[in-house]
Amino acid sequence: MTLGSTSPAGIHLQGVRKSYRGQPVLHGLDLTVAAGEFVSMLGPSGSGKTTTLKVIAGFEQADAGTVTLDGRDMDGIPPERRNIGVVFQNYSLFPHMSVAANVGFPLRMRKVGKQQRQEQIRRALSLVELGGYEDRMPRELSGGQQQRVAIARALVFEPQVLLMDEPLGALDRRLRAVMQLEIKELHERLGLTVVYVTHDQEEALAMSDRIVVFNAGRIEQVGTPREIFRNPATVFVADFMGDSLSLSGNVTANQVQLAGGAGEFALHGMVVPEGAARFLWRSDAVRVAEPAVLDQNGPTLRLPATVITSAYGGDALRLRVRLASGDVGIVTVRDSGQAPPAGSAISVLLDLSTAVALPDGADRYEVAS
Amino acid sequence: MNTVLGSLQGGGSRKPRLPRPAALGMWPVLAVLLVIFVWPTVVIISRSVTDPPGAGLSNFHRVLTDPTVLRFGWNTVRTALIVTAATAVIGYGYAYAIYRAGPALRVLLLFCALLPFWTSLLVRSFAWTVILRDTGIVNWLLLRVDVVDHPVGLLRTPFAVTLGMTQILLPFVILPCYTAMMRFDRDLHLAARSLGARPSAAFWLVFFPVTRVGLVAGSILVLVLSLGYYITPVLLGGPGDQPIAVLIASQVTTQLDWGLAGSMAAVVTAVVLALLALGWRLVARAFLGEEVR
Repeated sequence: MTLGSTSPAGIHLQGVRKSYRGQPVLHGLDLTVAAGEFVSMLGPSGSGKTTTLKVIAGFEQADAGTVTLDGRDMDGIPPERRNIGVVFQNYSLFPHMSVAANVGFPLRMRKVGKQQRQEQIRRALSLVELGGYEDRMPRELSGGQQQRVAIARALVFEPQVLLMDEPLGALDRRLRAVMQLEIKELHERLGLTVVYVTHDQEEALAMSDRIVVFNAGRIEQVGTPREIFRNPATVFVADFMGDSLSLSGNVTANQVQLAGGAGEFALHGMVVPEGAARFLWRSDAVRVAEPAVLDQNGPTLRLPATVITSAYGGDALRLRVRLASGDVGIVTVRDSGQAPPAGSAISVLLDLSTAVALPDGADRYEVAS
Repeated sequence: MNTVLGSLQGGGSRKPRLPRPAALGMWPVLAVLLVIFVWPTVVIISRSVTDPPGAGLSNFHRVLTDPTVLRFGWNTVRTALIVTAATAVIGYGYAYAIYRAGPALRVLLLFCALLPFWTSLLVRSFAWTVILRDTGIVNWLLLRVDVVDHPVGLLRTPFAVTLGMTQILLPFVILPCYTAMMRFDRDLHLAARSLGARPSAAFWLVFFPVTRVGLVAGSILVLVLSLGYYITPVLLGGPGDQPIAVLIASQVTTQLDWGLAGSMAAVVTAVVLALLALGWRLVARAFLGEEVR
């Protein structure tokens, strides 16, 4: 058999609940992952994504609800009989075993003969480009190499599903970017089902077929990276997926009245239920101008704002601005060689055609500052 | 002074070490130890080759050939090995029980494990005589349930010595084992399970090998300590169960044969130092939680 020849399995969660010491962490979760799909579970820490992974792996038992793998009910089946590969954040290589013994461990558990075992170890290590490292000990490897060994170990027994719990969280930024592509390539090559936990929205956007956004033990939205990024279903998702600027308003008929009398505009093709709503712009969809400059082309809303801080980021400049309505947001502008000083007045130009309209729920993702 | 300056200038890859106030404060302690411990040890051991005058290695020849010395020596080694094995098995198991216990039970179990540290060695050894003597609680119980019709001689047996020393030395195994277990990354267990290991396989192939460092360190310590044990065998053992420490003492106090006593002390010291040299890194790592060069 070659690696990945086992047919991948779909995962189905229905009404999964879990509490720790009376504190609910999962409130009745429904989720379907198709066979061969790469799904990221994204959310802030404590949102339930890792607990969900542990329930799928069998490390935790759900208080209620069902988990099925490839159509089979997993209730009461211990992790060692689920045939699921798991990659942990801190690699979790067995420190007293060589690389070959680590990768061979699942084969040993399955009573694979020594000859075949060595062949499979060799193939799994060459898959992660670590051929020739068989006799090294884990402590002799760099973080990236350790994580590759962990991936080889989780794949060598041809699991139907691979679960990854923030596997790149301990690596530096550049190495993370390289590993993201490698993992994605592995997924495409082997075609197995991958459930990937991360709190890094860029990582989720870069790697996934679909993203599941978690918030406080509930699923906030499920969709493709583009859907999640461009059409967030809730204010929480919109805030979590990246820098943005948003305004509260009230919708009546076809007209929007912005909070605090900041202005009003007509809805352009947007379907928004009447009542309180929030209008959001990705920070790169906002333009800024000197206060005096008049620029009226297209349906543009022009609002006065004050710069709170600015941060230099290479080719772009991130400005944290406060609008007259009190709303605070982040806009990204091209670096013109000079950052506007804190407290300076500018105008933000909001193109109504790029606005995302959301029902104004109370639950928002706030970045602790 | 030269060495201080030398290390300040820092040579090669060695980290420059500055004299810290804490290190300076150590000197009086070292001086006291030198006078009341190191110096007497040197004096006693030097007597092995100078008493009687011109003794040379003749005392060592007696140590290695005299049947009495060999019998006491064998007593010592046998007891030390049995005690080490017993403390290793019970200590590791007890530490594992603490590790797996809930928070409240864990405190209780740790307290019980440490209790021997807070009571005097003499009191603990005497307590065992009270428990094991013919009118003690064990025999009272055996008589009450009619297992035996007359008291079993428990005291003054090798069993009593082994039992007493095992109980007294247990914390030295429990603590490093428990420390190693607390440092065990639970994800390793989950990883083993997800890779196909049943709980027992995960324990023996992953948990035990990773936490073994504490067991080895504790066992070396127990072995070293039990080679020099004195009070407990004297109180609990019979005349035939006495260790070499007792023979050394009697050579000095009744035979006034300082030369033989000194050479026996030299041999024991050499064995203990050799064991410590072999296991010191492990002991230091397990107890102090750091890598020692």
